[in-house]
Amino acid sequence: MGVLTTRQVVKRFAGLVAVDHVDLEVQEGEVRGIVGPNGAGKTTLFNLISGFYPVTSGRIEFLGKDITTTSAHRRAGLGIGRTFQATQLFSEMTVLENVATGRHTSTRNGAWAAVLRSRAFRRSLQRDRELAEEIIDFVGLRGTGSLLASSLPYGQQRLVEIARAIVNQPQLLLLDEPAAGMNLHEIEALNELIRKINETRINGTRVTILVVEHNMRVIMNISHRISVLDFGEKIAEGPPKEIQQNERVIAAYLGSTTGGNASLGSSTGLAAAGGSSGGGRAGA
Amino acid sequence: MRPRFTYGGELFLWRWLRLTMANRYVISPFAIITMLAALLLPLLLDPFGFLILFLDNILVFVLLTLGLQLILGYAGILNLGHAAFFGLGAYTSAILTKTLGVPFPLAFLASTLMGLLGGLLMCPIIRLRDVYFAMASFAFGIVAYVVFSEWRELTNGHIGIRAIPPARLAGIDFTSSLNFYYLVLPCVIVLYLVFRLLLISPFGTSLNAIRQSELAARSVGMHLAAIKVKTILIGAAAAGAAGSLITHLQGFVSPELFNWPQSITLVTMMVIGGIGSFPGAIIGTFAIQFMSEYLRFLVEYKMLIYGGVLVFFMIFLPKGIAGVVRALVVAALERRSAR
Ligand SMILES: Nc1ncnc2c1ncn2[C@@H]1O[C@H](COP(=O)(O)OP(=O)(O)O)[C@@H](O)[C@H]1O
Ligand SMILES: [Mg+2]
Repeated sequence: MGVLTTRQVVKRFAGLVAVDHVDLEVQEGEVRGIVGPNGAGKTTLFNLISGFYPVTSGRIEFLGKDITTTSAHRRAGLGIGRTFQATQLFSEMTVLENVATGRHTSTRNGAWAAVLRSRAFRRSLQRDRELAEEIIDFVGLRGTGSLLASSLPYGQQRLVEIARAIVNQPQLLLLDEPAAGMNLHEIEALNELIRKINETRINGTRVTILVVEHNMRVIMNISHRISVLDFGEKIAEGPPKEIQQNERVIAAYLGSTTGGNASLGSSTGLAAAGGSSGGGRAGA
Repeated sequence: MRPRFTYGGELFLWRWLRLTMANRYVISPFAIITMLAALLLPLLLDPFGFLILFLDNILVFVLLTLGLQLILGYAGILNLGHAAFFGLGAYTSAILTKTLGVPFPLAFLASTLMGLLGGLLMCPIIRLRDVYFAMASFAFGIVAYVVFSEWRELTNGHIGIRAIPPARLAGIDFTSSLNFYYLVLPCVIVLYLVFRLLLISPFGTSLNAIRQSELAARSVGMHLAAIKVKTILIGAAAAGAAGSLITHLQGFVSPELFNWPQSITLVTMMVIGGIGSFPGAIIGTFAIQFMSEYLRFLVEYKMLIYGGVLVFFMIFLPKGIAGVVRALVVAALERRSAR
């Protein structure tokens, strides 16, 4: 079943077309890589899928339902979790508190329940904390629960964000450049973590993941399929091996002069990743 | 047996301070002590003196600033029209009790509801961001003031409404300052307790979350507009109730009390006391009320002085007096634990 479908989705910002008639069809349990030079519209696409921006035109479906006009907080409740390119943590909260906020849509929220502090209410708070503890262990941050989130090293902050996004067991997870700012060890662990999340079964179905990443080693490693954006348009799509050798993709990366990150826009990054995985048009 | 002044070898005071600073109490021992002291305070004062009337007045303002603290300090909404809700409550109570002879308890409830309704009226502008909301709420306050001063048939314009009957509840007459004190203090205590409980609830978590990162808050499913609307409604209802009380405390209402300088004064109280702290709101209210009482000869320059004070605090003490106290206590605690 298609978990996520976008049909001819367009996002226009005053004259600039950031996302240009993009069609995506992401299957249940798939890890889909989204790549493209800086400014290609990857983050904007995530903002459309998670409801942070309204689409200019087009249609978005999640689990077969049209969510094009559903607000961001409802989409979170439906099971779409996300992280941000620039880390967004609640800086005055502890790691545990940060992660527990991820349970927001499942917690009893009635103001009266809160003021009267009913048993059921207190139990649900307790459950949030327990789940948060569990997920903190799961992402490899055991023992950091009581620390201020902002006091962690940057790479670990990114993990807190992921923990917060998965604690409510979303069926679709959007990761925007999760490896940015991580060292090699952390990137290795991240690879493993994404795979572990993907293999987790929620009500018998695997977690579907969309990941934007400039680090080619990560993206080639974990993606089942990759979609390539350039100037808002989807210019290619397929298994990693095919994408590495796609002429248009290589041209797009070569043509991009703004690629800042070493392995991001540079053709060498792409070629190196292609070389190391042995090449060969296995999928063709 | 050892006298029980210690807890695991630690003086109670230090333990209380430590846990209070860590925000581990719903109601801290210091809050309880303050409440008890406030309940007993009138025994020390001349029941017919000025001071107790002055305290009555301050406590009414504390209802305003606690509500505004929720809106400004916790939800991060710069509401520059809070006095409008205060005025709505005041005129509602004045008109109901004087013109229609409605008993005080009903008028008090009606004022609270009118405050809430005023909050609803403010809601359409809630989607505006930051400075745009601030400007729109400022305009909201001015519109309310124009209504109070120009709708003469109802409000008697600038002259205002006089000879408003005093508050009566369950056969008790609250004309005397002393009696009134015991009307307004329970209101303050109840509001404080409700706010504390709200803050440790998921609703409070949402408020904190939104202030720290709106993006992250949205990503976990928090409905920003709904949460902001709720804080405004709660704060506005409290201000409506405060309006009813001030009406019966003064025995008259006139529009000046609800003009824009009042809204700015309330924000100044927040900044001086400490944005984001309920004790701070109370401290700021006392500070400004004392200042305006004892510096009466400077009344012409009041807004000028507030402006200067605002700038000074924003630059040098952005967390207000409460922030300074907190820093001192934390430093003392650290020095102790280092020993
Ligand atoms: N909120 C916005 N307002 C105006 N332009 C935007 C906004 N967000 C993104 N853009 C523009 O849309 C284009 C795509 O940006 P983005 O989606 O962030 O790219 P990517 O994540 O692929 O690097 C860029 O040209 C960017 O400047
Ligand atoms: Mg981006």
